[in-house]
Parts: sequence; C-alpha cells; structure tokens
Amino acid sequence: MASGIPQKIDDLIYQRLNEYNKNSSVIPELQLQDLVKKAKTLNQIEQYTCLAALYSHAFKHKKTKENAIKAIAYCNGEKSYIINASAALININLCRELVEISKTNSILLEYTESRQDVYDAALYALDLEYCDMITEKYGLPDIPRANHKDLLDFFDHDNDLLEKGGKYIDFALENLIKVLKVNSVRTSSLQLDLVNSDDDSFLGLTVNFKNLSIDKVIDMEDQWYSHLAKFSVSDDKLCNMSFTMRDDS
Amino acid sequence: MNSPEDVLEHAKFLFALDNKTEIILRNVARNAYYALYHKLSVLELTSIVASERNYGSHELLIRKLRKSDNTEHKELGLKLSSLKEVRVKADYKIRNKFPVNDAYSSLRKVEKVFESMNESNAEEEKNVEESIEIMNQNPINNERPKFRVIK
Repeated sequence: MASGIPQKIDDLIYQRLNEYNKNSSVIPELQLQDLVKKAKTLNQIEQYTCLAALYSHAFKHKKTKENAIKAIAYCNGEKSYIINASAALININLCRELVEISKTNSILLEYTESRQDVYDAALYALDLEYCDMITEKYGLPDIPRANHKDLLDFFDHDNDLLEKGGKYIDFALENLIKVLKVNSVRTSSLQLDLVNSDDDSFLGLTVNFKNLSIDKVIDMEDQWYSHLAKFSVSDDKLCNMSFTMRDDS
Repeated sequence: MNSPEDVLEHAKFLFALDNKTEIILRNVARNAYYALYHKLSVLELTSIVASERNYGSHELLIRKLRKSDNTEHKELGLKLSSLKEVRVKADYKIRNKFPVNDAYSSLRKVEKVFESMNESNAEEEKNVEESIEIMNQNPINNERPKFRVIK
C-alpha cells in the first residue's frame, strides 16, 4: 500500500491476525483490545465479521459464535463475509456449531471456501451423512486424505461407534483449545489421517504448528494428553484413534 | 540380551550421526517406538476380557493402557498410539517424505518418558530405603498393647 493512504480497518485487522497465525502465535491482549475498538467503528456487517475473526483468534467461543451468526444473517449472502464468518468458526474448532448453522443457512454451501470449511467441520463432528450430501449435491475441489467414506469404513458403518468417536473428537478439540489458550499459541492446521498397517488401521488427528520449538510442542502434547486421559475409552475402535502434535515448519 | 534402554540408546546413536539419510530417520522413529513398547510391556496392567484377546501384542498393550483406570497409564497409552502411527508411516509409507522433525520428536518423547519413569523408580527406591532406615532406628515393639480403661 502506498504511504499516506490510510489502510482500511478491516484490511488492517485481517493482516494483523494473519501475521500472528503464520507463526502460531496469539495477538497480545492490548493489541486485541485496540483492534476490537477499531472494529466497533465499522458498519454493522463488517463489524460482526471482524469481531468474529478477532474473538476466534482470542479463543472466545461465545462471542465468536454470536458475531459469526449475525454476520451470516445480515450480509445478504455476500461472499467475503460468509467465508470469513465460516473461517472464524472453524478456526476455533466450533465444528458442530458451523455444521448446525450451515443446515439453516445453505448460503454457506454456495461458496467453495465456506463449503470446504463446512465439510471439514462435518468430518470432525463425524456427521458423515452431511459430508456425503455436500459432496453429492455441491462437489468439493479438495477432498481430504481421509474423507467421509474412509471414516465410515473405519467405524464399520456403525452409528453407535460413530457417535462415540464423534464425542471423543469433540472432547479432544475442546481440550486442545484449553491447551492453546494456556500456552498462547495457535495451530497452523489440523489434519485427519487414516494409516493402514499390515494388521490394523488407525485414525490420527494431527495438530500442526509453525515455527515452535519441538520441545514446546512435546510439552503441549503432554498437557493435551493429561486432559484426554480423562475420557473413558470403552471401545477397541477408539483405541485406534491417535492424537499428535507436531511442528511442520 | 538387550534392554529397552539399549534400544533407545541405539535410536540416539542413529540420530547423532552426521549426514542422516531418510532411512536413518525412519530407523530413529522405529527404534524410539520399540524402546517405549518394551519399556511399557513390563508394567503391571489389568488384563482385558478374553474375548478381546485376538490382537497382536502391540495392540493389546495399547488397549490395556488406554482402557486402564490409571490416568498415568492412559497418558502412556496415548503416547504409544501416537508413536505407533509415526512408526507405521516410517515403515510403510516409504514413498512419502519422512521429516527430520518427526524422527527427533519421536526420540525426545520417548527419552522424556524414560527420564520420568526412571525418576519415579529412583524416588520409590529412596522411599523404601528411608522406610528401612526408620524401621532399623525404631525396632518394632513386640509387646502387646495394653488396654487402658479411661474413666
């Protein structure tokens, strides 16, 4: 941008957030408050979208959801607001919420970016019928390595197991946010992967970070495990689900 | 004869080599996993019901740990599962790149478990030694306790 031309507030906010996200770091509270203040001077729709992005970055679930819902409701289906609102929800692992919102706001499935977010969210929520509907009716440009059909096979097409597996992933994601919040770090991506060996198959949920020391990542994984150990694993299939944190710089 | 510590030492030795090839990195991850598997396989764990016993020894150990009521064992089970996934990638996905970070990370995770288990073993031994010392200083009184009537 040429010097002397004031930068648009929403551009500034997204630029700052993306800078911090790139290094898996969290924006300091004072800067966050300053940006929230700036966002509140924007017009209503931009305000809701920017606030959803800011609160998502700061791990504030309730405010993220409130603002994302308002942004989707008032933006007249405008693409940039829709995709930023869906990104705010999935970035803070509000997967089930994003799926539910999309079920009553099908506009989220009209744009490739938000459709991909909704598909990924439904995959983590193990709402595999919804994933199937999305791919059959709308199509997806980027089918993940472990797609809904693979997951259906992994869980032996068993609804009871799918429900238990979904609860386990919910629990893992919820506690992941707690660990990230305590350590003031952000993930660079999440990944579901199916790994087959000669005698078994595993479903791995991998949390990737950028530019963090491996020892820091291992410490955080230990913290995550201390939460995950509180989940009672009753089925053998759930013992084939693994959870890993790694640095993929 | 070798111990789990020997297997871990071998993983460390491989990782310390100059000009590590991808094959070496895969072997680091494999050895780190096996070191942990052998270390944990001697833990006293509750057995699981007979109908579930049609698994290989690795799967059975992971299931016992993850279904355990002991939180520490559950955490170890989660770690072993995660390292097993990396080990499977190292052994089976040979056409995919195997990053140095994954090898180092497997090695460090296992080193940390060994350090922590050795520390708690040392702590237990120290406690036992202290108890013996206290008992020696205060030999058990073999006299039968006297019943006193409080009026």
